[in-house]
Amino acid sequence: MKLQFRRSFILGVLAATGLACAAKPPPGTALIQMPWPDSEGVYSLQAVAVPTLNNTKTMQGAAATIKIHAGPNGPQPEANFVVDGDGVLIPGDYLTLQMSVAYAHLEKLMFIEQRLGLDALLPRPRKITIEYPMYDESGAAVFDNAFYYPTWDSLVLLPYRRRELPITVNAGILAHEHFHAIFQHTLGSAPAAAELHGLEISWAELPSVSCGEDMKREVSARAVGKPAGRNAPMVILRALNEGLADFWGWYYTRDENFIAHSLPHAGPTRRVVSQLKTLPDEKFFEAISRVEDTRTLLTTAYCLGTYFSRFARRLADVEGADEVAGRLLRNLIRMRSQSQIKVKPDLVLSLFFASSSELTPSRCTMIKDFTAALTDSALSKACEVPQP
Amino acid sequence: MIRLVIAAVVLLSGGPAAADLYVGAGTGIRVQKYAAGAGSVNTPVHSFVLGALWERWMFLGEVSQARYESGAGSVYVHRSETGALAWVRHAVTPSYWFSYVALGGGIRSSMVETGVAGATAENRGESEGVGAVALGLQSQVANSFNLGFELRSLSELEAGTEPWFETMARLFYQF
Repeated sequence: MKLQFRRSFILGVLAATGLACAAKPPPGTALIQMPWPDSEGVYSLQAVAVPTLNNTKTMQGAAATIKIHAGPNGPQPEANFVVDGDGVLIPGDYLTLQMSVAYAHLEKLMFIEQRLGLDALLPRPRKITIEYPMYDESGAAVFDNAFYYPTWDSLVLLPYRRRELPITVNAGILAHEHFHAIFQHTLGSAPAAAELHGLEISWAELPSVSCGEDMKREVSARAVGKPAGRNAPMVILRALNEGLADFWGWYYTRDENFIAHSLPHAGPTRRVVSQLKTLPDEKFFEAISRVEDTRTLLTTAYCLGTYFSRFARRLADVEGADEVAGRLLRNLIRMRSQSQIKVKPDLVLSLFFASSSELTPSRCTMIKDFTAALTDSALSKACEVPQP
Repeated sequence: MIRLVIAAVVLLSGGPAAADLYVGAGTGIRVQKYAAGAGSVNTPVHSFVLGALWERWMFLGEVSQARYESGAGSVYVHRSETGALAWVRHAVTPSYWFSYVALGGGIRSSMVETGVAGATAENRGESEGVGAVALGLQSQVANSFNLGFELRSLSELEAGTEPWFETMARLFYQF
């Protein structure tokens, strides 16, 4: 079935979703036809204005530089566009289409940070590698995945072999990976957190798991080793990184099921719904410290991440997405300079509420629901004290 | 005046002789750089020609088409290019297999079909000027039939992009 091509001019700084705002672009702005989502997560072909793209041949601009099949030191790409009668650039091949989409989303994400007053948060232009050939330990090629690689400070997108929406075209997944760069440049590089990096298995490889009681049973069953002091903080930090990246994917697209468009098996677990999940109790986190199996630890981190993504989503629904997103980034920046960070299960609260003076009755209700099973939550206790 | 021009052409071409007319069809491979760093792609290319041979000179009109398909998952980009070129070629070594050099020029236009998750769009690109040079061999292989092989390099005139290369095998019928 052929659907009518809808041509609308999408301008960079976007109103509600960060993605869709029709306006006439300024003269000289590159207009590129590419797959672009609406807030329902439906992708259609649209002419997207990409005002910071200086060179439509090498795909370079203020927002990003792109390499194909190679890391940041690889050769310059050469895009292949066909110009139609309206002056719109039509990608003439799939690689050019991928470069166009990746650049455009990285640009819109840059505009969001600028709008939040945080345009110096990351070094720019950001780096992207497309169709990177990667192999596992057995020498087999790895597909259908994307990650942020701190050594290159680059988003790395692997070839896609499934039948659904390619990861490079998925706005939410690009925003998710972009958030990892933000996390790495803030909390991830904080002196207190830097030593806790680990669990580097990739998320798209994880099987579909149920993250409720199943997660607790799995951790309990595998908690057989000696307590490893780093385990619980490492899992919490990774869960924060993943959960808040999922929140960022939702914030950018307003599509709570954005992952499922490319990786349907991960959809049900990772859906960023506005439904608060009460954090597990301290016994659960104590059990994590006795788990030796890395895969269980990583699965737990992703599951725990959904607690954090849904808390952030709920808060965004109540207080406004831009407000909550801005607060998150500012608190991440604040933590970057802290020499001591206690990586506790409710650390996520510190990323939205910098001090007890910010605790309003409605926020306290959320915090109490969220931490009901924890006996040692500082902000929850602060909510017990009457606020002036 | 017209008589003078005709007389000059006939004189320059070595005397009065009737031109031989040819029709031909060819197929070949286009080798084009594909987003540098990603190597090159080979695309099948097909052509149809009409030609007139006059002593060592041959004048040809050619229409060619190449189609390149790429994509992954629910996204695809299919590009087909149609070219219309005029060629002038000169036989360098007139023998049973004669070699020739050729210069060509014309236009090409692209049609791109893009698809995402079931939605498609077709876009026709603006026509671009194309220049070309070629080297080839041709011979009469049977009554009225000629076989030719050609290697050629083509480039857009306006954009100054990197050239692409084509090999072409052709069968001509001489009227």
